[in-house]
Amino acid sequence: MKVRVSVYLALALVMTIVFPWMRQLSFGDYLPDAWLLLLLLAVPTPMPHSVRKPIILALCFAILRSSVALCSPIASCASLLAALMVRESLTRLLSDSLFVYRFSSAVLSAVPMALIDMSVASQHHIQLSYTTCAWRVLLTGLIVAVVKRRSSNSMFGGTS
Amino acid sequence: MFFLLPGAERNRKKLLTVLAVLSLCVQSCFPLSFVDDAVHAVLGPVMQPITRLAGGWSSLFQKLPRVDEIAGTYNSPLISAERRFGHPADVPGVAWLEVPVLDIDEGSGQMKLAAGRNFHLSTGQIVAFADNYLGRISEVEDDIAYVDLFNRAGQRTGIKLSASANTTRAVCFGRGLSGRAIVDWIEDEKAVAVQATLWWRPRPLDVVHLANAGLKLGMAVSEGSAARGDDMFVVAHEIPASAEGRVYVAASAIGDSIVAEPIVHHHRAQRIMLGDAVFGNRLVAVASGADFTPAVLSDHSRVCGQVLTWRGNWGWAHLQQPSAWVDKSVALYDGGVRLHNAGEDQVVYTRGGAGIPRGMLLGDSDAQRFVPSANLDVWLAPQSKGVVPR
Repeated sequence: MKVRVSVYLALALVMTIVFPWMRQLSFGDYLPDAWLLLLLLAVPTPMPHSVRKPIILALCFAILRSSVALCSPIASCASLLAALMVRESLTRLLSDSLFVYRFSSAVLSAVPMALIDMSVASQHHIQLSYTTCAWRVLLTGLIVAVVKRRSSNSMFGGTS
Repeated sequence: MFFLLPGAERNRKKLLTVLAVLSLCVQSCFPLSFVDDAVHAVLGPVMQPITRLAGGWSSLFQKLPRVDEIAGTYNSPLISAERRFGHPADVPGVAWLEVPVLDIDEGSGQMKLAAGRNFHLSTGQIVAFADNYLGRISEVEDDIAYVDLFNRAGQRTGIKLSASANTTRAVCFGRGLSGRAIVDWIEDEKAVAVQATLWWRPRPLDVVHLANAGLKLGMAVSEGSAARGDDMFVVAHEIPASAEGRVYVAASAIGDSIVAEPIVHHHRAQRIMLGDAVFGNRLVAVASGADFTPAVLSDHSRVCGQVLTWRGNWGWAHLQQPSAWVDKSVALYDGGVRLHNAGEDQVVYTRGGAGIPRGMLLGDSDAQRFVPSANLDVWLAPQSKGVVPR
């Protein structure tokens, strides 16, 4: 079934409203970034020839993320686009048929966001520990690897 | 394969995409403020309603104080204390003008004051704090004056040494970054002893009574080795922590006022969201119609934290506990004001600098970070630049 971009945007908007509260829960610091997770799940692997829709989705998610976070829209945009780029490069090298491959490529695609978040934190003298970032990256990888079981093309009218 | 782009075209697009993403990453890690400002100016109106919506949702689950009192004028106990401790002794024919300090560079021996010709300051006037002689005004602009501290390289200051019953005259010679000021040209070298008090000695054209103000430069300490023949007396001196806020300029003629108040902008603000989706509950989003970019956020005169980023009419502030302000805070104690040291249990105040007004209450040094109420204030001291670290 084809899931339209607007559905993902609506989902992202709801998540934007709820997620800052979730981040403040006792385990909230370790939760993976919701917008990154949604983007990795929404955009199929490998990406379609026209990357317009994934880029629009990433830009919209970046604006939503920056609305409820200190990170600037540019930092959020860089994080999300870099994640897509890293995953696309890895997907072309590795098959996503095995859990370990899916996990590895998702983990590596979450690393740019972790690095940019740490850079933003250090610019503003906010403490963001390596452990927290590592948990976020690993959980992102785990969730993407579990949920995204095989090559899909859900957003752009693929088979499923 | 007819529909595929030619290889060169595909590679060109790929390269451009990689370059675009890389430049975004570079801008994120080494931000150019005007780029961020432009982006916030465009997207701010879209982002703020979303922040308010998220803040509204979060507040349903948070126990947040909702104090609606209007804050009165804040009279800082630190400022009052600095005025009490810092005013030099009154002497006939001299008025002490109170002038805020913009910044002090102890290494190069220069101090910048936030008043100038418009406050009737002129070159040659002496600057003091309590019984400490600091230097003389060397240059005056309309609203700024520069003071050459006595330890500035090449600065010569007449002094009087007194130890026990002996008193002699000498000249103090500033060395700037090379070291402490040297006590030189001693009239009677036998009269000099270690720990002798070095009193300031007026020049012939200074007001005569200033000699009775009891201003001193510090104590004489010995430096070098007599065996090597490079022993000398130098001045042991530190600028009092209170003098980072305001100093006193001796004037024999004055204008309308003898107090130059520092410029401090202040505006009401509202909490729109507590917590951040990336960094957690250490941040708070606030909105304000202030026509300046605020530096600090307070809740009824008590500082919550520094404003980290400002996006037109709203921004993010970092909630910090008072102990996180070490090096940026001062504390009151019996004999005056001093920098707050980690581990000491005191009521601490802002030190000033980076646009933060001096003397704002931070609270008990061991207090925890507190949750700000709905009605807040944002502040900016545009002149406050701070002290160059030693």
